[in-house]
Amino acid sequence: MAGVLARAQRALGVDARSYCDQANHFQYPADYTASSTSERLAKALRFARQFDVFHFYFGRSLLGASLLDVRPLALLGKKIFFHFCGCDIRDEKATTHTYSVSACANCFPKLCSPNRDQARAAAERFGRVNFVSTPDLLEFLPRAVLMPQAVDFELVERIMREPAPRRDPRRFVIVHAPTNRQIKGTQYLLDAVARLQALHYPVELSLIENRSHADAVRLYRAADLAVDQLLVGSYGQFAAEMMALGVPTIAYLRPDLVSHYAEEPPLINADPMTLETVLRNCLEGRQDLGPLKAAGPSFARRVHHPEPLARRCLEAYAA
Amino acid sequence: MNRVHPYALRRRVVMLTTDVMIDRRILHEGETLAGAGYEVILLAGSGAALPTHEILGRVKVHRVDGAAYLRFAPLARFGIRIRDRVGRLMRPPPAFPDARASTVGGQSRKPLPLGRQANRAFEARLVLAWGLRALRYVTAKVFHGCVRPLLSRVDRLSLLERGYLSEGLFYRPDIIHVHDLPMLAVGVALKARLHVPLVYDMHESYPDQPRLTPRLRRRLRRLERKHIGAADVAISVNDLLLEVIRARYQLKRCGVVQNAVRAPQFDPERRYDRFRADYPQLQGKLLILFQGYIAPERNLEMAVHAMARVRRTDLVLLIMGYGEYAQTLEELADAQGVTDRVLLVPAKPQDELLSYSASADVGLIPYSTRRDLNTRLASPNKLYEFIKARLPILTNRLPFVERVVTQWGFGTVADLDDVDSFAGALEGIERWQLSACRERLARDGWRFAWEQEEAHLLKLYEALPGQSEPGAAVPVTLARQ
Repeated sequence: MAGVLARAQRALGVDARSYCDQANHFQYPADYTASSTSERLAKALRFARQFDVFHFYFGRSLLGASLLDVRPLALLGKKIFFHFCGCDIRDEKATTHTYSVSACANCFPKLCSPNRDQARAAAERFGRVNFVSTPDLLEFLPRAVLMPQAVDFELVERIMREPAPRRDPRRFVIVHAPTNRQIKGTQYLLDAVARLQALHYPVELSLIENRSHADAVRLYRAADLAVDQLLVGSYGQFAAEMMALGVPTIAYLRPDLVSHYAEEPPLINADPMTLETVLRNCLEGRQDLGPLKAAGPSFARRVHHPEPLARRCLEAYAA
Repeated sequence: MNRVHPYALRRRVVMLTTDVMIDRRILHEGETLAGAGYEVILLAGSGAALPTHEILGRVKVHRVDGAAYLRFAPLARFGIRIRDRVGRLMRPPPAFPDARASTVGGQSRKPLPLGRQANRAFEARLVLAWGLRALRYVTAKVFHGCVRPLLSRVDRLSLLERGYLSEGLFYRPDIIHVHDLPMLAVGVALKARLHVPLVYDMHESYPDQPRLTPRLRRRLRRLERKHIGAADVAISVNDLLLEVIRARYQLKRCGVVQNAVRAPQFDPERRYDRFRADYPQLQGKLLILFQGYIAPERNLEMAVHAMARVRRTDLVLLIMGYGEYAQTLEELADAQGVTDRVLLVPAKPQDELLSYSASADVGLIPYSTRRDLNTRLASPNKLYEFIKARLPILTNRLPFVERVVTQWGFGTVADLDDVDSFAGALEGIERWQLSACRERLARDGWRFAWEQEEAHLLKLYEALPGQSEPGAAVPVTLARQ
């Protein structure tokens, strides 16, 4: 996401660069990477001199989870922004104890960032503006601003220009791409699909894991329906990309969070308890998927296109 | 296994135990609390082939790997050495030296030597000794008055305890539930940091274990005395043991949760005959069953000796369980010539145990009444297993077990510390009496089931500070199904 936003900001005439200090198995593009501690340190020193604005993701800074460089950067007059995306800020205990459906209740071992409290404190103290990528995170960081996920439309458009994948019209393919099965509620989907298959519905589940981002997006295109996260209460990057590709998508949207979106997302709402019924409705044609296919790309372009998002970031940087 | 939670969880309980193979009582309690809407996380000991994280029933188990915290062992050892040196200096200062009781050069006072020169040398040494003592006195006073208050904020936890503390802090419990004394100091440290209630669950009187040296026993008792006051509630396994502990530490808030069995999969109405199926030579025999840990303190050698004196040929003693002492018992049975009437049976998994218990004719609890406090006032797991399996009981005169067995007519009580009396009790077993006992067990055994005990546990939890806050006690029900 940082790479996509930096590219969009460059297109708007700003010298923005993305830096990833650890390997990411999705192979998201980044302008700079580092593989050793000495390299990280050298880059931190160089970037501190070179840049005026720092937009940190996942509660990490140039020196990683230690956040040791945040205070010196602030003292040097650099503008600091934090951007949280999930387990880096979500208070799992509050979530578990407040909401009847939550990813944290099922998450064990707990996947919360070990420096979550430290990152929250740093963000509150040094962050000029703090961004969150999904509305469920707003409650964990006072004065945070919702900055939806940026979809790489260059990649989406390139893949959409490729010949369409072959599909078996007799099979109904559901695609699901969990980064973490516990958090996404994958088990509920597996159970629901198994029950539907036992009832002889022609349904097929395509689980996409451990693929590069570009390969995964290519595979998403072949699906009739996508299932994003079933526990968190807001939709993730996967749903945003599926909407951009025009694939109808199921996700669990917590009722109190829907109002945080500028417009209601064209998604099918389902939680673990209603998932099987919703899937059955889709399979039997009771849920009309056509309008969702049509509405998805335009919604994604309005809400998740990197250019408006980059513009919003620049406005925040300039404030 | 993922589950749909039909409601938001109430509060988080973090349980602490050093157990690697987790005690049934802990899992029962965890399951009960989870059923009542608590989120239960158990920090347990780690084992080689065991996963670090697993979910047993509804209890989230996190095994704390001591080795992970030993990475910094050299540094920690250095720190501990410094701490101990400082600690020695911080001991309360000795009384100011008295010349009459002084020692010189580390030796006790000798008769004054004769002669002026010798006297002068002696006086010089005496002045030096006094000077050194005075210096030590002043130093100790300074440390005691100034440095100790600062250092007392540093708790004295081992590396493994620090591991538990660190994980406990990560989970931010609303209630800390400590199982047995080894984890009490960690529980107290967690309570001090998080200001949440502490439950101290004593599965036994830990410092009274027979295998401990007197010195260690004294040390553990001091440790328990030091920390037990921090517990918001102390739980014991029976009222007799609780009375002893309550008197020892002047406890105010305490309760009893017995070691009852929760076995929803076991059908007590069914007839089981698993021993005779596994060992055909047992057909037509009356089976006396001991089950559990096989150890010297279980008085099993007396049972083997007694079997050698029993003239009835239809009695067979089954010793089912685990423990190295089984080998000794086997040799004893061989020496006594009763290998045909004393059979050692391997331990059975927990989910099959009750079906084996129910396959015997009499359950034996032979623990000696002449041993330590824990043995004397025991309410052993097997008592509840036998009751659940509706197995008539033959027991020694252990106060708690005797009270249960005689009050409800669940079996026979005899002096099993005497071999002749033991043999007589075995000889006197009558089949018609056993069926009467079985009827009484079927009628009143429910009183000793886990379903009764879990109500006690939940009542103790509800009485904890902060548990009656508005909104805390009632789970949020889910409107949408």
